[in-house]
Amino acid sequence: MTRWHVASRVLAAVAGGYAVSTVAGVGLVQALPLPRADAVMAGVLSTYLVYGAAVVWCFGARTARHAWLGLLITGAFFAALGVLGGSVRS
Amino acid sequence: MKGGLRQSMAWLHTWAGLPVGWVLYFVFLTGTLGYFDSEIDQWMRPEASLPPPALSQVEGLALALARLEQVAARAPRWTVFPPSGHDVPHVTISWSTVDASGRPLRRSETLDATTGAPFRTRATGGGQTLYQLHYTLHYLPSATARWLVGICSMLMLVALVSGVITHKKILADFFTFRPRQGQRSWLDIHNLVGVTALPFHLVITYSGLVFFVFTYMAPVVDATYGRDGRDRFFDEAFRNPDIPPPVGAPAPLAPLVSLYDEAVRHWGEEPVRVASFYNPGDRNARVVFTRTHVDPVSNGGRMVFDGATGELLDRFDRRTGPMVVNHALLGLHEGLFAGPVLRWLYFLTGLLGTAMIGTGLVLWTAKRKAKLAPAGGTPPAAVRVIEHLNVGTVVGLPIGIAAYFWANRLLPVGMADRAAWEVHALFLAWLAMLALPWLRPPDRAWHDSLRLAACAYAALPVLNALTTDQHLGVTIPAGAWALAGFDLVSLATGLGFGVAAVVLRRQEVAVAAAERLPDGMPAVSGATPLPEDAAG
Amino acid sequence: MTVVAFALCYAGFALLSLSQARNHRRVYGGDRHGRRRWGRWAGWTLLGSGALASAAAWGPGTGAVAFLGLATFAAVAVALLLTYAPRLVMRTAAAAVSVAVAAAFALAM
Repeated sequence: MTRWHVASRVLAAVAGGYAVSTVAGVGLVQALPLPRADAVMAGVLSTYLVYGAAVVWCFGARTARHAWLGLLITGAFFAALGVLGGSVRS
Repeated sequence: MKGGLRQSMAWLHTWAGLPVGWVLYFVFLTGTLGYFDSEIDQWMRPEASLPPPALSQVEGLALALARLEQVAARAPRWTVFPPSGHDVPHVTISWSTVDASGRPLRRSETLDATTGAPFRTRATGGGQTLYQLHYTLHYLPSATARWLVGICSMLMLVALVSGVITHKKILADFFTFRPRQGQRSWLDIHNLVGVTALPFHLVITYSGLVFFVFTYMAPVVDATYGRDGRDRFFDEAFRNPDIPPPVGAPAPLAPLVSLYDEAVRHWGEEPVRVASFYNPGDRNARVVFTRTHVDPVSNGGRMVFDGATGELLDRFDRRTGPMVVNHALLGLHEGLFAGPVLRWLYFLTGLLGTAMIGTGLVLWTAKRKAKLAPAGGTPPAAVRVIEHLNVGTVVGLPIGIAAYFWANRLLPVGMADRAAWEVHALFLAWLAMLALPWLRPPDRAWHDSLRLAACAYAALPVLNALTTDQHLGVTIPAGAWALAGFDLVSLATGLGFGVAAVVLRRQEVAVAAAERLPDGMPAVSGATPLPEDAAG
Repeated sequence: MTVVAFALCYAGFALLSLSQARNHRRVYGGDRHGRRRWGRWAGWTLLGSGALASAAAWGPGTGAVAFLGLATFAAVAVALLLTYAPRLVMRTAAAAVSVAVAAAFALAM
């Protein structure tokens, strides 16, 4: 476990976690069958759950690579959710 | 990370908590005092009448309007906080105006019910400034403070979650406290106050983040509403009332009693928390009542009246779905719905949260020193610095807050920038306490700080008696419990710090005695239990 | 009603603490499994009654907040008593139940 691995995890947790939680928020806004303002409210309120979970994941994952991979998959999931939800809506 | 999930979570818990521990301690302690902001306000304005006269809301509103027509007839908007329950004993009014150079300015007054004129009170920040410190951080620009508090709160959330995961025997150790065992005792207290009040810690931290969620998570709003659509979102989400511009034709305000009765009909007794008057005196006047908080989700209820005709234009109470969650979180954080019993529970639980952070900080150094103690090594510079910060904050900040109250009584009433200097006193005293451990060995610094804190709080009621006529001998017979409560809590706080000083002293005597034991006996380090007889 | 709710929470946590093997041994010496299980049921029941009493006094929303606050300090009190006067835990719990019942009757009158 080198210093670089720790740095990589910290970066994943702080920046990656923020990015994923933002994507999750936007994805939920698109996917939730609610009036626009309500959906945005639900989206922003959920972001901290995702952020918190992402940070815990980044330090709990077996390797730094796993940490990043998990974030990518989660981000992709919410992005897909947003795209699908958006297309159902419009 | 090596060693499995629990170890990596322990690592995360330590390094998420430690760097922001002092800020979080500050945020929790000053925020906790906010649950009694109104009581502190009253204590810091001893010129206001005692006890506050029993004034109904509608009488209070009438008093406010009379005063506002006198001093702010041309203001575009008046705001009135009518008296309600224990929280708001006096009527407060505020209005917008412009200063000599044309800049917008808000003025506010607290009214004396017997004369209808404002109280001539000393300039003070009161309980409001004190509790606002927990998100303004006072000397920082507001945006910087917001982000800093947000980052610290997020780390707090992470520390809470990782702390729970890493706590192996969270149920088996739920009731465990083993005193006089150094590091283990600190860990027990840390766990006890952390776990028993966990719902509070989680909700307060999460909801604290929600206050500025549109700042921290702006991209989510922008992605839907566009970069300049923030206001549109707020209008849609919060249904801000449509206020038309004034038409310029004067019209008297409709009788307020009928508007108030309408509010009572829908919302019950003492229904109004804030009454706002837009375009007062104009034919396009609007009166907006905001509902008193009666439970965690009721905040934000609103009635909009046509100010000239008195017609109810819009009323809305129950929100739906995510808006309820938002309001419930904010309502739970502020605790304005809480009556006396619940307010005390909020206050005491807040102190548990503060204690959790404080013991966490102390635990960090205790652990490292315990590791070094058998080898007889001196702790590395980093550990020493952190220990100094711990002394200077864990006990130093309460001393700073005491200094805020002392300054309120001792600074000359006519002094320029008086209110600002009260706050300076807080930070200067804290700064001095932060400097102390550099001048004294840490053990001595703990002692000196604890004793000073004990004196600073225990002597506050005395200072109050010497400088005002609202001391315990007057306030208790008069049944003015907000004021008496302040003095009594100060006494109790002083007593608490005194007891802490005595306990610490005894432990040190015990440790010293144990260290003098003949060779072969282990020197008592933080991690080994003290012999019972030596400790007593 | 605050007293009723707090007393119920206190008694509930007291029984729950004594239903844990380590605390049970400390107070009673041996480990009687059946008694511990009975204590666990009774403890949860009392805690649940504390929640109901809070809800009855303050309504569901405010009551939930009050219950959590009261339960926090009930748990802290039990922990301190277990440390400094373990023999008193059961006795104070019994006293708390009587107080709760008496206070509830007094309020119902």
